[in-house]
Amino acid sequence: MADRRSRAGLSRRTFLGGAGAMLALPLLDAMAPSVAFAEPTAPTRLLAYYVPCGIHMPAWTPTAVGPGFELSPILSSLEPVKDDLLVLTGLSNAPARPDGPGDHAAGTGSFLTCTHVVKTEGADIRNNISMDQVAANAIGQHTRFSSLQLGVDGGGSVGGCDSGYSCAYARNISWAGPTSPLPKVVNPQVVFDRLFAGFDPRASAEDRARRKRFKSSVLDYVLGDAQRLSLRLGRTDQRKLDEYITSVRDLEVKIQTTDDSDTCDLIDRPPTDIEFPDHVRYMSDIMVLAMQCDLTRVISFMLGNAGSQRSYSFIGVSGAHHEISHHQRMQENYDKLQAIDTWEVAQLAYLLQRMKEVNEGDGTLLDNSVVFFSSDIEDGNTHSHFNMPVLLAGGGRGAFNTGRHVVYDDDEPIADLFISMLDAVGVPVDTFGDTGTGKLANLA
Amino acid sequence: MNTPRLKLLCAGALLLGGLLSLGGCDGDATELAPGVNANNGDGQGPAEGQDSGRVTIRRLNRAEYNNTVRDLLGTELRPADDFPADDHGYGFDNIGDVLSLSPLLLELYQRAAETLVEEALHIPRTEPALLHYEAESLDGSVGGVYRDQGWNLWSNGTLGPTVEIPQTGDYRVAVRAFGQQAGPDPARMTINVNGIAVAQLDVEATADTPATYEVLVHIEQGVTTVEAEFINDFYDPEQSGDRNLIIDWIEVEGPLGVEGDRNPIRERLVTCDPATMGEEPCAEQVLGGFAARAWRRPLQDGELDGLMEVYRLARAEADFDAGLGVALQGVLVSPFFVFRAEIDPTPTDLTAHTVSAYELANRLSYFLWSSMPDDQLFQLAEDGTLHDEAVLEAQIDRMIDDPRARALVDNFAGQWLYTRALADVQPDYQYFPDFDEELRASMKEETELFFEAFLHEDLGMDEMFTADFTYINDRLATHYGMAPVGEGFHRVSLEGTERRGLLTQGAVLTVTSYPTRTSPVKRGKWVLTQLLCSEPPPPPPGVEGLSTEPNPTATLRERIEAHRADPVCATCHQLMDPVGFSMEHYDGIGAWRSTDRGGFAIDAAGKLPTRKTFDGVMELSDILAESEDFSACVVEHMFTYALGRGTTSADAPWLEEIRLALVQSGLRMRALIKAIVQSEPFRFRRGEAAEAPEGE
Repeated sequence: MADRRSRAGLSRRTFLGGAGAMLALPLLDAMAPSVAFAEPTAPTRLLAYYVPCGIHMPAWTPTAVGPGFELSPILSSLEPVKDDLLVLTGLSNAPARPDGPGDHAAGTGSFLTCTHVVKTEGADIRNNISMDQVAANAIGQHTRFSSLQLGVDGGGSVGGCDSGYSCAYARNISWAGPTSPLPKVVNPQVVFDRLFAGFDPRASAEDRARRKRFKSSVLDYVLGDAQRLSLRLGRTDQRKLDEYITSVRDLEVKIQTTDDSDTCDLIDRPPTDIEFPDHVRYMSDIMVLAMQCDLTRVISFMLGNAGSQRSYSFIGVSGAHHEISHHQRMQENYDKLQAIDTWEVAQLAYLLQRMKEVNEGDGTLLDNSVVFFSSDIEDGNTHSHFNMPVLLAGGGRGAFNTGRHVVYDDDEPIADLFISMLDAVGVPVDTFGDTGTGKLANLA
Repeated sequence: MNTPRLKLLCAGALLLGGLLSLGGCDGDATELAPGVNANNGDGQGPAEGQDSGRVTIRRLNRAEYNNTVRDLLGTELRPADDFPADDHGYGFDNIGDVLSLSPLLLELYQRAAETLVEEALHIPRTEPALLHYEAESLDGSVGGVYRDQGWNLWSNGTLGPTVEIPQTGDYRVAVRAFGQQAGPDPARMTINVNGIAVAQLDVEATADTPATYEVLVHIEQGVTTVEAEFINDFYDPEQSGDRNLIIDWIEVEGPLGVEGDRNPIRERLVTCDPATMGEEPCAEQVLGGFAARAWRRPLQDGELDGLMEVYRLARAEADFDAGLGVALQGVLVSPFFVFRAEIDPTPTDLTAHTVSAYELANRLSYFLWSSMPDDQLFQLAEDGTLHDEAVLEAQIDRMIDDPRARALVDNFAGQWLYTRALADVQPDYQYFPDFDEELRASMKEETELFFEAFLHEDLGMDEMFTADFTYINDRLATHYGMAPVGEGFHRVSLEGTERRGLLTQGAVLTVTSYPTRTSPVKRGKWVLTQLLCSEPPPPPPGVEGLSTEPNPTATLRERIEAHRADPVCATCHQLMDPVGFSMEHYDGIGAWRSTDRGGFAIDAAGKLPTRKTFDGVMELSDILAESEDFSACVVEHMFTYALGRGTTSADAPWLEEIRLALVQSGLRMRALIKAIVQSEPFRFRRGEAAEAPEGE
């Protein structure tokens, strides 16, 4: 399919791939940041990273507490960024507990919302705004994309997702509002095109401006059609049209936002067929690039959907992830889970290291970010939502005192951590979700 | 208003044994509301007290979007493959209430429109261009101008222009050159495109007789460097030998072979010549025709004017094609394209009315083809005859026999029989080393061909359980232990084998297994949900999963039976498990086995709560084939798919009517389709109350 697309007019991309006329890496150490930020210093970014099916905690929780702790086996790949990292033990997400079974979908739905989601498989899904969208609403207007939602699994169309919970909960962690999940892009070519397509170096500034005007003209027009149509519809249909109208307005803003990214293209367009490990790596690369080029400051990423049955045979683990995570207290399953979890954390380590390599003048991209890593549940067998595996990476521009293992009482809600993270990106809130009442202690 | 799926939760009890008291299960959900007739039989709309319902406005799902642009433009592009996964509910991904539209999706709609229009309006080159570069006007990486006529590469280096290649295709690259020869070898050069050598040539020509060296090469559209490179410089001062390469000129000609090239999409779309007809009249003609087809209804007053405004704004900045292109994009991003809108004259009036002829045409085409109506359907809608029963019947026959009815296989069967799920299964390489992509694809095709037989032939759907035929290729023949069949797929008899019907096909057996083992519970649940519409409720809290490793002291059956010892679990498991266990002879990818993984003999016998016994899935299939719940369930699934909404209790009279028609026809799928289309819920709709009912 991609071949046809590249024939049909994404020819500009062939130039981007081959020619030497492109600008080199904008942020080499020797150069000042070439991206013009709206504010005087580089902004603080927020990134949420989700892995499915929980973590094997005995190999995750470091034994020592405080600074100078030793990384556990699963966390070992984070050694190069250990000083930029907080391992937080003892936090919980009580609202994630479902009504009956359904911990994966309920835990995923509330992963960034800390809200008890309504159990349904129908159209009456109900959650709450996720913390990354609270940030996006406040700081998103400075960038072309107020936020990005990325992943590696779109999800199929047959069957249920988890015990009476809609697939909407299982496949999305970012929610714009109670009934609006934000679907993720999983195709690397689509991500690439969204971020960088439209940049034709042969096009003059005038050409580009005209193309923007044409796009706006289309959106103006369709908005008129939508308003006309909406007048003739009943209220349920009008709600559907409202989704359309909101989306048009969203795109209008995106098109108008100044395009500082024009000189930012450092990677080739990805190939059509891409193996899972390369897929994940590519997504990490593009997340770094998107932040580096200030295309967005808010990203969420899902390394799989709730209850993922992915095969990790490529690291020598047989069986399916979800099945293994129901370990039945068998050592063989513990070993497999440790292998999977270690691999997952290594993907995070790669991302964090790449962020650390980006020098932004007053620190690295990692210093200027807050990154949240966790899962929908704790242990895959008990499906607990307490004592969650949580990492907080990045200094938040000095907001956090990193390089420590911090232990909390089991009642501390993750929602309080989110309040702290939002504060660090310049979005102070007093409450969050069902359980957040103030900033989390012992982070600074 | 919530329209909960009509869960015949305990109608399974009817099949499996009378009226069981299953703690909370009660009632026969198909009982008609008292005092209400099934229908009034005269097509005048729902009788007093009946409600033929309404469906929420439906946006095109991915399959529908791709098919619609295919039929609208004739493109082979499939832009919706990049759209996020559709939300699904009630078993299908075309449910109006459930489908959502996110900002991401709209952004991708806009991009897709740009791409589709760019392809549609592209004017292909029909003659090659010839680009000629004199060497002395170029700048080599080494060397200097030679006698004002050429360029002397006196050591290894390159010379060549940067060329704008107008269109991907085949090009002739020619270099006229000669060598100042010295040493044992002739001068040698490569011809490079974008730095990569595409030919290496010996330049034996000398200054007296320069020669032209040519190569044919495929080049992508875009800015490209084309160079001659001297690669074997030679200098021997003692013998006064100095080898050099002199270039006279370089040419690029192409794209070649395009003399007859056309863009059929453009020809179909741009039906006039602005130069002869005038730009505005031609734009009006194109836009008027295109919008009516894209929006699948005649244009209303003012709509063409609105589009012409868009055309004019863009035309003023550029040219006819640009103006037309922007307006065409507007048509494709418009909600009239992206949604299947149906209008109630008064949106708050609850009185049922027939859908308009065009709306009916759309319902028909999206039901049977997952795509837009064709010219014949549009014509009948315009004539006003589409609501006529005889006309509808004839159209349904025509549409089912049309290749576009393939959509029923891909989308209806894909979600009803789960053939779509095959794409996502990952059988474990250790336990099922035989499973590969060829097997995956073959299983899918087998069940799809099987379903198609029931669509086109005179077979009753009860035979889906008991059919003594299937479709296999050589790969499946090996997998099933049958004789090879030669190239491609062939219909074969299953007589003498241990297989019969749907429940012994690889597809169903694989998608209902775990990656490492079979799951009798999943299989039982699948049959109950998909074929009997009596889905068991989810497990209660605190349930531990079953151990995944073989227990050396118990068979899988014995271990699962242990769970049924608990009465809380047993209520549902005694419905699911016997069904699933009947299939235990077929492993996690549907291959036959006589013992299970632990090496234990398989006991596929069971007793249903009705006390009917069976041994193996084939005997169970016979029992299921005769069940009334199967016919009711097929009706429910296809009704849901056809209408794009879940069923409600108000639908009960029509569902029963359709079921009776289906049974009377001997359970023929074609009859089912006709009964659904002719039913009132399909041909009527109503508005909804202005205020939401209490509690919504």
